[in-house]
Amino acid sequence: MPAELDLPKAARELAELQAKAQRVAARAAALQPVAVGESPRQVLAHWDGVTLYHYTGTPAPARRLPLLVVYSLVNRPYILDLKPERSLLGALRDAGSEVHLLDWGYPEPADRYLELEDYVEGYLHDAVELLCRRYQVEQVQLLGVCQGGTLSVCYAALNPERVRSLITLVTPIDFHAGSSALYHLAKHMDFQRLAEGAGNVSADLLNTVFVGLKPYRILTQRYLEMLEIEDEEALRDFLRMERWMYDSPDQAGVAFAQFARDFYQRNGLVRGQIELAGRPVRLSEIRMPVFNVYANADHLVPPASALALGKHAGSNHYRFEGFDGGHLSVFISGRAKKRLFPELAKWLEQWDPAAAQHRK
Amino acid sequence: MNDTPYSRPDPAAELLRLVQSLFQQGWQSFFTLPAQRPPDGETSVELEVLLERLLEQADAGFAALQAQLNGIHVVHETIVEAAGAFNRLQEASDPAVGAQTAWLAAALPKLGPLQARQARLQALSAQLTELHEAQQALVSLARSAVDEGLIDFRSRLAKQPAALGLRELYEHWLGSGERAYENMLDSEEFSLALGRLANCSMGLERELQDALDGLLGYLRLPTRRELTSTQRRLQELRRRQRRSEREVPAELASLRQELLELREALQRKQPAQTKSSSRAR
Repeated sequence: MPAELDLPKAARELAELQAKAQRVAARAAALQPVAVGESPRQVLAHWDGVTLYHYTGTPAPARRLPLLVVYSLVNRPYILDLKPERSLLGALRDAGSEVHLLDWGYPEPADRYLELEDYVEGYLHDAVELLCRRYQVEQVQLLGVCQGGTLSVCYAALNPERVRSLITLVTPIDFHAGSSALYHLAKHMDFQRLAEGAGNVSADLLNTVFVGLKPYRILTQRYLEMLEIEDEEALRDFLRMERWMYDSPDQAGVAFAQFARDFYQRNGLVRGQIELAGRPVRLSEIRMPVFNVYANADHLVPPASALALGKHAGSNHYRFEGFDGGHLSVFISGRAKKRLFPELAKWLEQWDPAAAQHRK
Repeated sequence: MNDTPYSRPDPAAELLRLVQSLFQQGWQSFFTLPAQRPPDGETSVELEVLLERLLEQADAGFAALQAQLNGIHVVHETIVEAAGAFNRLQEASDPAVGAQTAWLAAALPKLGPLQARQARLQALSAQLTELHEAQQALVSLARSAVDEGLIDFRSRLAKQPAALGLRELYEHWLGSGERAYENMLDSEEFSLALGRLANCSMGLERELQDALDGLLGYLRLPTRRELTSTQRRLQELRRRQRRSEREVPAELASLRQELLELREALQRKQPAQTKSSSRAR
């Protein structure tokens, strides 16, 4: 017998769905634009389009080494501070760290020849130096997220004397491990040609690639789930995510091509083939304490890719933790707020000599 | 957010964007669809009928995609023609060059003073064909994935013992479609096809840029070459400035230290001199 559609049931479902859709769409439109990145902060420095922020209002006395958070070049960092109640930056500040964020901004056409060495040994190094002067310390604590984690790893390997401890969240290290979907897409592309011809790589193109990895989920399932949202705050959260997902900077052409070719295609980081500003990036130089967090169901950074840091870093105090969930769950989920953020704060305190002295 | 002041014909991006717009069109039609009621007396309908409609929709979607791709192809052909016309314009304005044009056009090998230009136009034309083929290869893979998904969807439905509701139907469609799509995405064939399309697209873009740069230069307008040269120089200057900013404080500190040491040396010397001069008195 051929399968059949139960017409009265289907008609009821469709009518309900449409009624919900109209209701939710009207509510969503009324809530937009939604606010993001609201935690209080001040600008400490501005270099070209790059900004160093200090998250103000640390409740405990500033006894600790400054914490510098480095996010990916690909999206905007306010995912770490989507709203005050679910903010990684806010949670670490409230736990007593002086939190700083290096915001890469939106590269402009004049930035097309920025190289990875400009990001790592330029802006990132300038930020670290400024914080060391400001707090009269010799070292900072570094927390890198996703591609920002990879850049932080490079910085820590090149300047181990400046980094007291390193946290990496969902950070790719071995770009060929664990069937990386992004490597698979990038495998046969000529990125040198891209950098020469395209200038900066458009945000639209990158968004389309990311959506193209899971179009059924992102373009269909996600909006069906939205129709089920009754609670206004939950709908606001959905809209915050929606805003973040498509608010993407263009990528500085040369740096993008370097990252795609040297890290993804050649897997240069674990093969010891990366050079920045004429200096080789050796993972064995990462001798400071490391806390490496990966997501068990990450479709962008497979666990095996992130876990490779343990194999290659020279640290005697290496800790790793798998978090149940996808790429973003590590910093936006309620479980992360309850379980992971306090762990990160405790670990930062553990490796801060001033805080340790204070405890005594 | 970033505002793009203009959009350029980027075939790889365009193709992906069009696939995305197919989903968006589906949503738009859902939001505007009046609630369907079954015809009086009918309580069920064979899903084969629905599947036929889905296939028709897929056909229509791919036809629209093809039309858009053809449109992009026309844009590229027009630019290539414009580049050829510009060459002819230059040749006409220079009698010495113009005299050789007829002979060169007939000659198959690339010879004589215009051989570089001839080679460029031939390369441009070949790249256009290559791009068209690469687009077709990727569209054909996408089409196969959609068909594979619908075949799986059909076989899943055939196994259902009772009539289905809309939600169950959707879950089956999602499962089938997603699995077929991910199979395509994971295949080496797709990776190769995507790489080929991206490389062709970038190669063609580069050739078109060079061709149009010639025209801009002829009209004494700023060229892309001038712009990239300025951008490159700007980056070099930024690096030099950063180096200086880092070196100046270090040099200052070293000079201060030197000065301090000199002062101390001088102070050590002065009492000794004072003693010896008082002895002389």
